[in-house]
Amino acid sequence: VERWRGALEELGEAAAEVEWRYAAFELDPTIPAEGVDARTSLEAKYDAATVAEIHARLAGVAAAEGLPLRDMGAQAVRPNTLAAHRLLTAALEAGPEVQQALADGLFHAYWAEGRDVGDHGVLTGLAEAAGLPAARAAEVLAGDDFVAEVRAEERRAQESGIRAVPTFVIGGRFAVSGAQPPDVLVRAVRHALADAKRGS
Amino acid sequence: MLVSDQAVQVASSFDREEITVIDVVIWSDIV
Repeated sequence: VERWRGALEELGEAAAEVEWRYAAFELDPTIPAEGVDARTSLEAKYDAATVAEIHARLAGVAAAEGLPLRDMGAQAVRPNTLAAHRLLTAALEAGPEVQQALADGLFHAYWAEGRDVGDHGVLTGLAEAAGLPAARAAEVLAGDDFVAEVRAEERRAQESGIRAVPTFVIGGRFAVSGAQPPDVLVRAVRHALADAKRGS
Repeated sequence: MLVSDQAVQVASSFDREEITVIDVVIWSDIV
């Protein structure tokens, strides 16, 4: 997502012709709502050496991008992200900029601070900081609001063959998957804009 | 007829204006 922001900067004036938003994708929807113990969950899948290697790789990527990253080994909870996605969908109703601010807050809370982004208290605080009233966030989280919308987006991703995240779908036609360098995203957006202006 | 021709013209230039905004959807998880 930092690379996407980099791409928007590189696009300059053309960035004004881009409207963007997040759509829901859960990497592991089988995690229970309260989350799972991060260490146990990782060790159930990988041996200790592989876990260390994964953490080292993530730290390397974060350092190269200049992004803050907490000690991955100290992460307590591997959260279920359905509630976060429901809140992101609610935030979109308030405007794409509210959703973008909430997503920034969520990424930072999880990756830089190691907070549990499945916890309703944490989520309400992040929503408020992003410009969504705390009462609205609490109301959404208390019920089943936006579950259907999140599921519909996840289905759409599946039907479109999206298996990896992030995936950027540009102009409904071009898909760019994975952590791509900004210039790949810039080229894809320019291509889509040129295509649209040709009146295809 | 003239009225309807004008209406078509307005509609098509409006469409062209609309289409120059590119919609980007980022499918992503938080974790």
